[in-house]
Amino acid sequence: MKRLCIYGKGGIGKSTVAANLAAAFADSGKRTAVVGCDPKADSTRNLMGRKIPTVISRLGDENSEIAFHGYGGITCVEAGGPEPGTGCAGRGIIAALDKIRKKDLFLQHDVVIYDVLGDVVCGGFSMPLRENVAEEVYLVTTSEFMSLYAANNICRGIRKYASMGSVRLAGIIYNERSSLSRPEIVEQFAKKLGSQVIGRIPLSTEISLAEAEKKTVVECYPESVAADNFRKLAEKIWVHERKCIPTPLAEEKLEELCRM
Amino acid sequence: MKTCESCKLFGAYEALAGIKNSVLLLHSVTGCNFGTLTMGISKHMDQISQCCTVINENDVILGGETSVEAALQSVWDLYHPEAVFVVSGCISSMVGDDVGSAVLRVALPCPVICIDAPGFAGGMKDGYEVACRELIALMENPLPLKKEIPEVNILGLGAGDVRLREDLKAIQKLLDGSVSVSMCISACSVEEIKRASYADLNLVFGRGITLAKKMKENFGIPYVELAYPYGITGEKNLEDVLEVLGKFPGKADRQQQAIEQLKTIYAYLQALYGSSAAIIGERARANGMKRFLEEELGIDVVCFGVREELTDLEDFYESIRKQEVAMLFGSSFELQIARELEIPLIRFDYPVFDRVSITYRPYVCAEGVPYLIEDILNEIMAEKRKEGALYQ
Repeated sequence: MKRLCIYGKGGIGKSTVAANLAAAFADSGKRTAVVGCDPKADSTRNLMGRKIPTVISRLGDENSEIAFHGYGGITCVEAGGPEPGTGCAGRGIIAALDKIRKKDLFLQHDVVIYDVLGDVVCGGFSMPLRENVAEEVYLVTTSEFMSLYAANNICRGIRKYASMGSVRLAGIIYNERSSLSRPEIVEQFAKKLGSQVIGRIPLSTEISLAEAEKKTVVECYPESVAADNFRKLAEKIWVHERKCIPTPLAEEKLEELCRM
Repeated sequence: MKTCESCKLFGAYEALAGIKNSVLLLHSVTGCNFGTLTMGISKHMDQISQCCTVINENDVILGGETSVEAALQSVWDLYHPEAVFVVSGCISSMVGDDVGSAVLRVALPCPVICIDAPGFAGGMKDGYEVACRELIALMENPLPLKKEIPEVNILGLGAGDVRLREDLKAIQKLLDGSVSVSMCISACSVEEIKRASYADLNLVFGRGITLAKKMKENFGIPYVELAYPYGITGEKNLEDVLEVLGKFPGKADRQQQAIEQLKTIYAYLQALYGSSAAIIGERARANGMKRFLEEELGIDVVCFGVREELTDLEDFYESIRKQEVAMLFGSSFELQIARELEIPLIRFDYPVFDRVSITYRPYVCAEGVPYLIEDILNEIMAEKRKEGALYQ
């Protein structure tokens, strides 16, 4: 079983990447699951065509259903969390992942994708990095400084937990959705981390149009270039084995890189 | 590491739990409720007016404000208190519950005071100070009033203090109707807190200085910081402070009476003279006990620790080991070191949970001297391997 986490700055397109990768994996016949680890609980919206009940909303009820099946039979789970501005979302992730683990939901799966909130803001959001929840981390980033800054921070978290477990940085997914497109910066960034850019997601109107329909581009526009890009990325990830303990950049080095 | 005192929540609890006609609502996990309740183990259940939101996993993740609202409504429905004190602990502070807004939404017909007291953000003294400071919100703006006798407030006592009510009664007897105690924290009523602003003086025993300063600023009430009034010296010291307010006609009789009582055990007192002792306690109590032992019994205090100023109790214990002290004055927590060193432990500081106190046996002022000496001697004689040590 391949277990991977998608991390990256908030709003960078992690859920889009996670859902489309899942759809591509499912299309290639792999038994796939997606676990949304974001209090917004919208990671699986485009696979389910709706928002599903979250694990947190059903914490007290041991018999309630927390796994749902969407496009291509993909198992969809949303950890969920508190209303904005209240409670502790990090603890929510810990409690939700604990419940998911106890239920052994993914024993029969080939791929499990964890889609995690923007940054490793507290112990809760680093949960997928530890206790063998997943082994491979893919960072989604644009070539903008703040996006790379967040990715670099996440690498600090990966490095911390890599020494105690099997989690590793597996690659960078370059999302070209920003107005500034500097692939060479992302390439250099990946290299300095000790990793590589494993895929590029070019800007695509089809992705946005599909999301408006609550679908992935793989489902909605299967013939499009964007869908093809995700299928290629899924194929690469499936066979990809090169992983590393990243070497995060010092802040001034990162600034230097972005001025390149 | 051995911790020296409890946390901020316990300090707030000590300041508020003894206020009659109020309810103390702990917004915390069940352990805080259980732990604080054990301090009231020798009390009648009617005297304990506390409850807890019992924060659970859902409250942590989704926020505990709904639980606070429900608990406040229950408190009102069940007790109709004159005031509610909501003391928030660690979890609530960490997840950032907006307890104040929850209180506003419920809008109980009585004052509700919120105290943020996470255990990780301070010790007992901090909690006591914060809780006391908030009490000012209950106090009335004093109107011009002609009083028959002057009034004082007493700050610094805790709901779980050893012999709290006995000591307070002894102080009131000392005042002999010349001065009245308007409010004593934490053995008073909500009504007394409201009227505390009419007092002429605040007596501060170690804690409550923040409130005393605030009351001076708001109401012009002066304050005096004092050591706990153990012994005849403690009584005299208290009288010196209070004499500006009133006269104490019976003081010589009381002090003489205490001295007369002790004459029967003169040989024992002689044996105590020159012996060594260690003291650990809350500042005012430790200072008061040190003065009493040194000035009235001639005991050398060779190890002295103010609990709230120590970081590791083990450091203090180590100094006791080195000094070879003959007796230790502290709390129930010191039993282990007392046993290790085979020395008697005289329990005078919070918390005391391995002794009961249901009879009137105060420790303070001249009246308390025989009781205190009785306990010192009995603890010495009860020490198994040192039996007869007083005669050596």
